Amino acid sequence: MSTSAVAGLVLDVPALIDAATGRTEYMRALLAVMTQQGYTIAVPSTVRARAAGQLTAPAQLAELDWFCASGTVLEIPLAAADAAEIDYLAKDHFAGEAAAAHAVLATRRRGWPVIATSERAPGFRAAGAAAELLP
Amino acid sequence: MAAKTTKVTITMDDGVLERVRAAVAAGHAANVSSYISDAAAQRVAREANAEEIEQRWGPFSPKSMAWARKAAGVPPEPGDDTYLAEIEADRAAHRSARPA
Repeated sequence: MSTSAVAGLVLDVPALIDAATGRTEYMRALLAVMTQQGYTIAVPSTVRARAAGQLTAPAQLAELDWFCASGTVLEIPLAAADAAEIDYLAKDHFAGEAAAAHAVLATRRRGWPVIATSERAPGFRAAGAAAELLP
Repeated sequence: MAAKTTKVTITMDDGVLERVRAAVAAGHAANVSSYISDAAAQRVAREANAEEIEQRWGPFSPKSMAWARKAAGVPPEPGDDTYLAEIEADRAAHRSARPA
């Protein structure tokens, strides 16, 4: 169990959906702690788009926007130069899903762990990313 | 209009003060007061933002805060280990309940 400061975390799709829906309070508590510490939560733009696509209620989309508008959250755009690497990562580890591959790229670039579900964590770990499991 | 200021006396670690003075000498702040005041203002702003999150979505349970501190790499508070063990037990139960 790590107790060293991480300075930043990357979110995978289920973690962002959890934050928007409030299904559990873990992600919202995480935003509070990260904000208090002055740390950063990185949300790849493809992760946000995929999360938004899985939310149907306007209230949940509003909560997603509020979460992402927090000064703690840094949205990482999809750069054209990264498309090929994301495509390879997606095919190799995530059955073609670009959002998870984009999250891997963010973890590699910043050296931050990703918040993932236990179902998706093996894909991240196989791609060389450290994964913290969402309860 | 400039904010009202008050002169205060503070005590700080010599090593930290040395770094602050070096930062001022390097031009990162006008003087030691400005550096310390900026640092305090940043912390006040962070805590205000965290309070806003708590007001919108909180209060958060001790269990969720324990996990959040662990995920953020923040030192645990007393009792966190118990909550983290509960989370692990829940996860193990979920795994064993899942069809093979």
